[in-house]
Order: sequence, then C-alpha cells, then structure tokens
Amino acid sequence: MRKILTLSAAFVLMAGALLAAEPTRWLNVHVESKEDHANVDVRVPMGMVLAVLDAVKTDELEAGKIVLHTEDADIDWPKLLQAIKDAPDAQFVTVSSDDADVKVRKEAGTIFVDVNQKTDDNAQVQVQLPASLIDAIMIDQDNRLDLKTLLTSLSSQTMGDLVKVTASDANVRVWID
Amino acid sequence: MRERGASTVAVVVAAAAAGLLAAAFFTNWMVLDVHTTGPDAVNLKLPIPLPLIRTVAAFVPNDSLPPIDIPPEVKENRESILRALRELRDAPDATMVRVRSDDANVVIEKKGKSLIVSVKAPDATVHCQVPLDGIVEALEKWDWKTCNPQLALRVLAAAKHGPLVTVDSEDARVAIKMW
Repeated sequence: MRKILTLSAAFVLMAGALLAAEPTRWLNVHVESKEDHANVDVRVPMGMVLAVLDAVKTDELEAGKIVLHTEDADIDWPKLLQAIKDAPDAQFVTVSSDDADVKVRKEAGTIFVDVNQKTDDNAQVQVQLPASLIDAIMIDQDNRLDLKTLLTSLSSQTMGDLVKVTASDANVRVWID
Repeated sequence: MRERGASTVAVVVAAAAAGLLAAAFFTNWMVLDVHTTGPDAVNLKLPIPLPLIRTVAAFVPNDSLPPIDIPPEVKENRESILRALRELRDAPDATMVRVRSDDANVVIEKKGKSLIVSVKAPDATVHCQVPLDGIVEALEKWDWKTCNPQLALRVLAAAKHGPLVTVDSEDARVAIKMW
C-alpha cells in the first residue's frame, strides 16, 4: 500500500512539473513571391528570435530597437498609447494621402492597423495586436520602438496573426503559435 | 605437463587483439567517399579514425596555428550567438525553413540535437547534418581568435552516426559519413 502511495505521489509530482513547463512559442513567417514563383516558410522558436535580435545591427535596427520614421509627426507616444488603451472600441485614426490610407481601430480588445498603399506595389498591410500589449509598446525620445520588449510580451501572451501583407509582388503572413 | 608460458602468451595476444578490435569498433570513424565521372574520374573511399586525427592535431603547437580574422561585431555578439544556438539546440523538433521555388527546394529541419539541411536543385542535391551539440560546445570552448582544428574534430565527434554530408551532381558524388 505504501509503495502504491509513493509511486502515485511521484507520478503526480512529475505530471505537475511537465504541465507547468512552458511550451515553446514559435514565430512563423510565410512568404509567397509572385515574381519568383517561390514560397518560403520559416518557423523559429521565439527564444532564438529574441537572442538573435540582440546581435542584429543595421541602420534601422540595433540592440533590439527599431527606428520608426515619425520624426515629422511629433507624436507624444505614451499619451497616445494610453488613450488608445483606455478608449472603448472605435476607429481612432483615418489618414488619407496620395501615398496611402491608414486606419487604426480598436475592436474586441484588439488593435488593428490597416494600411492601403496607393503607390509602388499597392501593398495592403494589416497589423493586429492585443490592446493589453500596449504597455509593452515602448518608444523612446529618438522614435525607436523596443522590439525586444514587445516580442517578449507577445510570446508570453498571444497567439495568432500579427502581420499580413498583400502586395502585387508578394504576400506575407507573420504569426505566433 | 602443459607449458603454462605458452597458454599465457596466447591469452595475452588474444586479449590485446580483442582490445584493438573493440577500440576500433567503438572509435568514431569518418568515411570519405568520392566518385567523379569523366576522363579524370576519381573513385576513392577513405576511412579515417577521428582519434588518430585528434592525436596528430594535438602535436601541432598552439603558436603555429594561424589567427582568424573575426569581424569585431561578431566577437561582440558572442554571447547572443551562443544563446541563439542553445535555444535552437534545445527547441522541439520542427521544420524550420522550407523554400520552394523554380530553382531549388530547400528544407532545414531540427531533429534531436541536429540540424538537417536538404537542398534539391535540378543539377544537384545536397544533404548535410549539423550537430548542434558539437557546434555549441566547440564555440563555447573556442577563443574566437585562432584556428583550432581540435574544435572542428569536436564537432565531428558529436555528429550522429550516418551521413554527414552528401553531394550528388551530374558528374560527381561526394559523401562523408560518420561511423
């Protein structure tokens, strides 16, 4: 009887440890290139993406921060993001220009950014993020977005589509599962 | 009366032979297999015991090893590179990259502690196995300054038994197997 109890306790402890272990989150990218008739699928663990992000250094991306070219717009990012977070479902921004139409809306706890490009390859870009992730969007005074913090939060909170791009030369989909 | 000396010698010789056979059996071997066609055709099959190469490499003085010119930005990110490789090594098995195009099909899969790369093009196929354990261990021990053949041997020793690299083209077939 004691043996059975000991074995059962050991089994329960092991099962608990296994269930408590965090499953691996994967960043997926699917690209269909219409010009080259090529399909590319990439699936990498988020931990690896975050580790590599530290090492990438380009004009636009360094130390996990990406430059947002919004210098002309003079945006108070913390105030704007807090307002979006606190606001009820609505369409916040609609910008129409010769280059593109941009719409930012909040619906059922998700923020949607839709961009319809009118020039070049007429790309349509859809980005969606849980509104709860707004706290993870950190933009410094140099208009650099802390991509590493955002991706770390994404990997722990959300699954599903993040970005979809439909263009005349390619379609791109990015998602986490 | 039996001559004890003779039977003792026989036992010692038999034990030594058995020991050599066992050592050969358990030693990592790399088999290089090369076949080419054409007027200068080559047919070569060369088994190489890795411990032999390690022994020879151990006699190479460290100060005779050539320095390697590693870009400073790579050295600066040594820890990030190692962290990324460890994440890859410890991740569950998955197909990580799949490319389908008119020119070639490429598949990169994670299986166990290895990365398997397969490339199929109209004029050639390439298949290779990258032992991630060996790579991580070698990079952790490397000084990131000099060329160290022992580290390359460490990577090879970590490779699973079976094909390491296979290249098939119209006029040549090259295979490196671990056995």
